[in-house]
Amino acid sequence: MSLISVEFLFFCAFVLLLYYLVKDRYRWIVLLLSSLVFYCLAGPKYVLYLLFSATSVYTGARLIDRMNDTRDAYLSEHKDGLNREEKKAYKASVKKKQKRILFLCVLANVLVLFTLKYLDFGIAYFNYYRLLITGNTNLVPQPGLILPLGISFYTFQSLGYVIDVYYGKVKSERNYFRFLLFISFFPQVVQGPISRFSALQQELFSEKRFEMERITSGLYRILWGLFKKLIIADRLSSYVARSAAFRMDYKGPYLLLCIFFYAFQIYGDFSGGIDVAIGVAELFGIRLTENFERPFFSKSIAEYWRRWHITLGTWFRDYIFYPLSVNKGILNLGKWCKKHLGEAVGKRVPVYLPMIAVWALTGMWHGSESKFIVWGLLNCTFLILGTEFEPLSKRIMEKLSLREDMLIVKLYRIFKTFWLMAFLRVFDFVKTPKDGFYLMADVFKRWDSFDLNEIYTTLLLPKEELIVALIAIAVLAAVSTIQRKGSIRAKILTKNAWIQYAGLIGLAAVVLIFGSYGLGYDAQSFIYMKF
Amino acid sequence: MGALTLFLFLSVNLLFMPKYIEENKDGRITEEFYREKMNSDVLFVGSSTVFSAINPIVLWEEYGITSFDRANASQTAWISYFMIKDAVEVSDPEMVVLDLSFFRYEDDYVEEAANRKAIDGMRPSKTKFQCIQAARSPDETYMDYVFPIGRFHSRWQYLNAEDWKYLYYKPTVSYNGYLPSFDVEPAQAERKTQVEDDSLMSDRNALFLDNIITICRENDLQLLLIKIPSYQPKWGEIFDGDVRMIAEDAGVRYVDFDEETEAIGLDYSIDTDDGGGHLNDAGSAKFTKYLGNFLVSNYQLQDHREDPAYSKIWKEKCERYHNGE
Repeated sequence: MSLISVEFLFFCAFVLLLYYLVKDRYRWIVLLLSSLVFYCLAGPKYVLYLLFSATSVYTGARLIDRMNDTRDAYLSEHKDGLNREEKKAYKASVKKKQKRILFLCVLANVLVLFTLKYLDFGIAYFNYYRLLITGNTNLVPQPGLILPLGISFYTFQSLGYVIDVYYGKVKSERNYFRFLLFISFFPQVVQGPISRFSALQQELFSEKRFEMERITSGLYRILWGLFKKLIIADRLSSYVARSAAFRMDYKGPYLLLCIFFYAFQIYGDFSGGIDVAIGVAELFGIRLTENFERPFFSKSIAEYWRRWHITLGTWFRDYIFYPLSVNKGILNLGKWCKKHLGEAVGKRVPVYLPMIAVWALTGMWHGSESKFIVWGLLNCTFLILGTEFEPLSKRIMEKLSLREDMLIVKLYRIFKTFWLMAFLRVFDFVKTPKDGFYLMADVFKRWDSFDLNEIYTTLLLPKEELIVALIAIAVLAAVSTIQRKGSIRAKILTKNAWIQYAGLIGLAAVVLIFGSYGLGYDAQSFIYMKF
Repeated sequence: MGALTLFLFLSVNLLFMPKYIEENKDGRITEEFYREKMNSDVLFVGSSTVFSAINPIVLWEEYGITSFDRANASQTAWISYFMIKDAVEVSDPEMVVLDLSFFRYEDDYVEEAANRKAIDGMRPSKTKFQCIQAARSPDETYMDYVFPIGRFHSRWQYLNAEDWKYLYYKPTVSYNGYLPSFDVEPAQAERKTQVEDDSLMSDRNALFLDNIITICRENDLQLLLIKIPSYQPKWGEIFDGDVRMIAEDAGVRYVDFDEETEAIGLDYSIDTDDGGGHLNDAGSAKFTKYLGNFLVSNYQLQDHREDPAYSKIWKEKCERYHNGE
């Protein structure tokens, strides 16, 4: 069941009714059952993967936590009988066992994710290179595994949890079913956000009261998400897909427009879906972590990635980048480099190596094709270049008497970051990395005999549709600008009920009428759903 | 606020639905059936051939028969079945006359526009849901029929004065389902039998024809199967033979009025508006008189002309028709 469907609307309404009808202490059970039903509707057999992840991680976390309890009890019991060294050795032996459990837990889940996501891709590459090198034409068949709904999201969420338990940041959840709800909560299981147990636990299981204000706020958020998804993303999707497929027939300006549109398509699609997820959760009185913070206002790539898919970024930072940065091997390599290649290199290695790893993994997370790895590594390259050229950039600014807080500087940086990220996004919608580079190059070619009147026939996007798309993008930009000073929803919710109602109905009508959905449109599924 | 929301939502649905007032008037026939204040004894069911060839006004004036054309363009066998089922649920007809012209159609689905014209006007009921289920193509969804805005919202760029004018009230455009055409386009080509794709009736059509026969029996409705005269297309022998055999096996009378063109007095140089595919108003008058005579000669149908309740209403209908309103 898609988050953008009338069926989902009815599903939510039914669950919501049930949720507020039952006693507070049973509400999480309503959510759990609804989440399992929701997941089963995507294919009952796929729920087994979810249960595997939940069971393995729950068991691992419980074992790790119990070892902590046993360790503490043992140490307290033998407080006077053990010397410092013995205590240390005992703690180390416990930690070693815990590490093994953590390793097994992570390995099992990553293995499932990798097998489902990359096995076909790996076999295809194996066949290709074997044919190339040995000339063997016997192809190893690809199993054609289907990716269960939201597996990347719930795997990361559950692994984050068990790592947190290992590091003692959170206590493990005793109740298996409560933990199951944590990773299967239906609004977020499709495409995130990737929540932390410490944050979501409180939200899921705390006492809730029916509050009309919260319902209104949730509805506003849902409608805003639908606005982004249906009016912007789905309206632009067919044009972007067509221009990527028929690149050779398009002149430079149209390809540039395609890149511009795709930036808004992917943002509208993903952040719109997250808005729906957050809005639906809000109806149940549950606050999910924000995943976007007006990324197109970023003044650097680093800032962009702090504002785009925030929960994935912080996940990689906390569970990959930081552990790698303090990894003994990397630190030793840094020392070695410092000694043999100079301080400048030695200082950078422990930072840049984990960065490269994180970005390669981020690329892989987005898809199994090589183009995503190229995309990830290009992002990493620009991040590193940004860091390396920062001193030069400062010197140039000083010479030109420019300051960071000047509007022109800010606008230039926003413009530069937007277009750089938009260009890198090309890899999302082309087939191969080579196609991506060619498309980027083609943008700067074929500007001859460009006639603006050809635009509608070339785009196959009727004038009226194009106007709606551009107005919607302008509305999005305006809303994002206003949001810098605070939440618009919060302001509306301070007005009287009729104004709140009028706003809600107005927004609903706009979505209902101008959305690209139904038979008349080729509405897309969520791009991020397949991750 | 709940009531207001519902009102606004329904209004938006009504606004975006095609109105079928100025053009494509057959889209209004289904709904106009429910406007009938008095019972229609005879239901004429079928496709566009029905609403262009059978004029209930003529039947009233000549024979005092009350009737209604429950027909739409490209109305399939399955929709015809549900039209009869629906009519039985809301009224008390005596007889069904089913035109088999469109039973030659072999695909399992017709184009969406034909479905929408026939189904959108149906009253909300279990029968409507069953009809949607039977008629919709795999691309069409239930929800689009329940909430038409889901299908028609992309009309925002085509909304015109007609959409606003007829938002809540739509005038009656048909004459008990009859849509007269006053154009004349003589038949030009030589009349030929379609032999190249001649075949038996498709399984789906045969199944729903069987369902129609059953529902008529269950409700004590007299049933007559007919083929309305048309110059083109002409059925092939295999299909024609199959229709006769099905009717005979079921014990239902079948009359091919194509064979009685001369007796009817049809002249395809003046009585058709599209070269022989459909009858125009003049052709319809001739055929309806002939058909009416056949009906009163062979079936027990009441003449309501002396009934003041009926005559009052039908007088208005006749005036509307003759005044061209």
